[in-house]
Amino acid sequence: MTRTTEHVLPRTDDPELPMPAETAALPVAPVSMVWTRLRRAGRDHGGRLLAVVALYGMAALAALVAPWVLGMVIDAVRGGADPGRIDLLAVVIVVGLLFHAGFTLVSVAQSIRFGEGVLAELREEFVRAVLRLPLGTVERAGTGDLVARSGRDIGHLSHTVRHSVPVMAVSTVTVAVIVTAIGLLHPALLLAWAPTLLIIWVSTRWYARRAPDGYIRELATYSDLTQSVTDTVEGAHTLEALGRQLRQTARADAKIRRAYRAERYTLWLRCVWYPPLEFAYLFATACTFLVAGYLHANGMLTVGQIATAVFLSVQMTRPVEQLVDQVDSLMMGFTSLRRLLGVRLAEERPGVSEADADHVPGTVEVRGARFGYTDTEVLHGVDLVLRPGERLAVVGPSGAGKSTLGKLIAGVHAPTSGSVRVGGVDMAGLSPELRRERAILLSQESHVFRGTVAENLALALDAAEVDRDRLWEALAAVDADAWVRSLPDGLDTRVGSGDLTLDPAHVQQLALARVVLADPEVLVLDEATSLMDPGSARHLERSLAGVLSGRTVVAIAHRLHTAHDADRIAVVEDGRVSELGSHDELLARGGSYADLWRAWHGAV
Amino acid sequence: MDPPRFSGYSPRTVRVLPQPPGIPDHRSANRFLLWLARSEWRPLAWAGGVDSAYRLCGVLMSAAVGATLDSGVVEGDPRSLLLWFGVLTGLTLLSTALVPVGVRAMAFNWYSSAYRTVQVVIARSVALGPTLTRRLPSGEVVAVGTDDIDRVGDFYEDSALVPASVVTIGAVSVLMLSSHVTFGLIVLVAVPVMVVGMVPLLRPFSRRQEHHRTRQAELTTRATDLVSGLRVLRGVGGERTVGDRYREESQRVRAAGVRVGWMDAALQAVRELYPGLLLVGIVWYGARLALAGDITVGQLVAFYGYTGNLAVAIRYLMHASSLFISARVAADHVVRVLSLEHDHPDPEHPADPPAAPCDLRDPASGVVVAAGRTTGVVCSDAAGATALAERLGRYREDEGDGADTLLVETATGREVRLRDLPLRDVRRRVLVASNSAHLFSGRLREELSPDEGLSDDRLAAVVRAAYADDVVRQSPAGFDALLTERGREYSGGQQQRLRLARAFGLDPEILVLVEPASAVDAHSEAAIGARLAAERKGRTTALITTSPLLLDHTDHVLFVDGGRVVAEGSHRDLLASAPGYADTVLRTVSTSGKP
Repeated sequence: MTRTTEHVLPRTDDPELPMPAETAALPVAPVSMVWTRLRRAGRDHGGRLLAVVALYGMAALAALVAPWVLGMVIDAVRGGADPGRIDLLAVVIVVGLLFHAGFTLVSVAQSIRFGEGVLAELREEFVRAVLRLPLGTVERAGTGDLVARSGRDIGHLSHTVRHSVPVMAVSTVTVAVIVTAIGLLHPALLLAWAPTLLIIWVSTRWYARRAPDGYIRELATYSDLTQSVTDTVEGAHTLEALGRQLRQTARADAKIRRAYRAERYTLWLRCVWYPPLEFAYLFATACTFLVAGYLHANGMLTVGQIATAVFLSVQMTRPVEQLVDQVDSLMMGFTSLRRLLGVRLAEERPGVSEADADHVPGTVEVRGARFGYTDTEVLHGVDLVLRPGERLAVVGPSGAGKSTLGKLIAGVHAPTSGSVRVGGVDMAGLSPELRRERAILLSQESHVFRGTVAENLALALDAAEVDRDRLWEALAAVDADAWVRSLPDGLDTRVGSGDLTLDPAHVQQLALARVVLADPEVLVLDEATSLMDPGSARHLERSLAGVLSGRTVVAIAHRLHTAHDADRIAVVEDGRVSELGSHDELLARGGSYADLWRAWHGAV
Repeated sequence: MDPPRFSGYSPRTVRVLPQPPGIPDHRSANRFLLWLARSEWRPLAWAGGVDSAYRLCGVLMSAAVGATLDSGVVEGDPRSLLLWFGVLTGLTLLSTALVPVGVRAMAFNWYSSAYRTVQVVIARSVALGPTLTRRLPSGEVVAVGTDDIDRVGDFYEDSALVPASVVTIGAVSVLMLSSHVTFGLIVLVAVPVMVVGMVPLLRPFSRRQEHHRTRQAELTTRATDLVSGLRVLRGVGGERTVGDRYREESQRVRAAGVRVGWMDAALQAVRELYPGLLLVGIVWYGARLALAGDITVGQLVAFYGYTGNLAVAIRYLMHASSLFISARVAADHVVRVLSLEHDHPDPEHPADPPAAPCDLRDPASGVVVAAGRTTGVVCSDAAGATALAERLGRYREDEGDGADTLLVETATGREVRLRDLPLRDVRRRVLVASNSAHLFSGRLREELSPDEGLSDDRLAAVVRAAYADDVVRQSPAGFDALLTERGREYSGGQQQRLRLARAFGLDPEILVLVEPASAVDAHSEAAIGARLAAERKGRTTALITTSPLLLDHTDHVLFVDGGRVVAEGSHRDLLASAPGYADTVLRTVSTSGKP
């Protein structure tokens, strides 16, 4: 058996692709967290749950009428009773059936209503947690994992909640009712179920110990597959341009292959687990005959009662089978819940510090800041002090750490040593809302949300009702009012995935307009106008400067007119600030900046 | 490694997935499902066969229970009781042995149908290129690849229940006919009546399910959108608004789910009620017969057992039809992706491909990208530059005749419109490399190489030409470094140089570069200008830029103002002769404008 396991265990040495673990940077919640959450659900919705279980109990009781009365029918037949009695008994069964169907209708519907409520609660909680992820984590984790969690895992959970929980409820209640009924016929009959229970217990324990890990791995491979689908959809344009269609499908196939391998392992577990279960269910009926036959021989049961016992035993097979079947779905749901709740582990714990007394709006103090994304350090001790309202341009070679410095100032990452204080407060200790009031980073990469232009802008204000004039003012500040006016529905034009696609330069303008609306004390612009042509970019920067006057601005740029227009310039080279001063000072110094300035103009 | 073998599992159906998917029938959801079934008929038939055998065991057990009661219990013969106990145990063991075979066969059908579906969706997405996201929100396509494949898989996994149910019904009818003709006839009439009796419920079920699916897709799209824009949300704000919007949509999904729930419940109630009524009918009639002595008590019990088997069979038929409806709703969405047509279809009668070298000419603006040279194109506005690049690469077609981009054979002067060539050929010959190009996750080496791969020397050369040596050196793994999603661990300037290296690696006949050095410092910019000219020496290159550092290394420069070429010459000549040109490219900084 062990040898077979080695055969089907998903191989992790696929040379073609990184393992899912490398791309799934988000944690999975510990088991205890899931139980805590479920206990809370029980507390919050206990009454509702009890009502649902009670309804199921009624349905299960009604279902017993048929086998019970049938035993009476058989005894009546054997006793040569009046046909009228049989007609009466048949009517009783019909009434029982109708009750059963009625209760089933109400109880299933109610349990789905209950389940849908819990499910909506869980997915909304998940999204709330996602919306509280620290920016640093978001930057590092791929979207595929989050998309998979918000799609597939919620789907699994949905199946568990919509299907498994009701089935579990109905089966548990039914089993309890049937056991009572069998016990009432004769307690010894319950002995027939002893071997069955033993087999179920042993085999299910074997399975339950192995399956969760298998499912965690399996779901990770699907996260990876989702990433592949997302990559394909979002990069479809590039795939066509580069003629990489076949390669992409081959890569997707490789991910499917890995998902299949992970599936094979859990399938193998099920194949070992199911046969003993099957045997156990059916064996119970055979054993019931044995016990009932013995009791009958000793005059303790009538033939009709034997029949009832056998029918009950057969009837119990289904709920027990369904109960055990749900173990699988429950484990899947449980695993999905662990992945969903796991996001909460990465959630931002907002700092304690409220706006403190010695808050000086707009100051930036970077002291001895060191930082690296991995073991390799990117910034090797940066010192920088900005006064309120100052405009600093950051220039330097590509990859020198300019963007990283920008991220530290905006509080996206905390320095590994040294400190970054904005407005006199350590950014690391602030809640995101307070941090955003202090500093906002605007990078080259932006996103247009599905919705109207107005909705996209209003995000920055985070309010339902927004004054349109403010939106137009912000658009005017970034030179975007003209083209927005020319859109089919102006501010109400629907944009984003599946609707109107905006020109990259326009996307940058919208992003800038958002920041103008947010109006932070310190603004870090990382190549925020790089996709516009130089003339428009410079025009925009100047009109922006008018709107932002009084705000501290850190502009990371390769276009040196930005540097020229700034109050001071910081040259970042190899993770350090190598030169700091005004344009004229640095030119006079004849160092890196002067070199760069000459080079930028070209040899004319 | 060989897949593990389990007893009775036909080796013919043990295959390694995924298989080549084939060409799907996308004319309708039903046809798509039929196509899947045809592609997978063997494993489907196998699963159906195994499950039928398993269900037959169940029917035989019912017969054995009746016989046990008659001969073992009623007649009180202990030997006979033990014998029948043995028969029951034997049938139990046989069913047990069939279980893992059936489970594997059915699960295989889940995998093969779900994987095949995701494969064809990916294949179609890849073939649609830019058309895909222009026509459908990306969340919609991702939802197909995640949610819908589950529903399709679920149906095919359980589709084995259909033949198994039919076999059960057949077997029960035969057994009942042989012991009592009337009973057999009752079954033969009642079962179809019950199945048909469920049909009125299926239509609203399907409608509500479709509504639920639509809402669910909208929710998935919203979640995907939210996750993709998360850094904007966390950076600038808007969590509450977006969170509220998600909650509203989530509540709509909940309401739709509850509505489906009522239909689910009704179907389940019917699944209990109909077979139950059949049971009462048989028991009542059987009891009357038994009372008259026409049948034995054991037979009556066996009939009861048969109706149990029938009930299961009918339930499974109904279950399978619910799954079919869900699968059809899902297939509808799959078909929506599959039936999209590319915005730039291949010509019906492709022209003779022009022989290299060719000029690339855009009559709309008068731009000519001359063969074998590096042509700088300066546009006075960014939107004009984007439009020009799109026309040169056939990403957009301007209305009106005579405005189509042409390839001109330099040897003969023959002109061929790009639209008269298969798109694949156009893409192979003309590469438009812009800054919005996507970087894919995977190894750096793989990302920079075309399909046939590059030698390490050539790889080093293209990286050097793009002035991206430092980017590769950044990771100790060198070319084997892993690129995460969209190459996010690299800065904007580093990503830009990687994209440039990738374009060089592909070495297209005509390369159209759009602002390839807009995100790097001036030193790098100048270096890229010089190295680009060397790398593309003798090849045809268009360099759409306003950077004087790049333009200085071009052979010839075209100045486009107001959508037309207004001046051309060398960079330095134009600086001297064309006044508008200097204003566009020169980085003169007037101090008067300083705020």
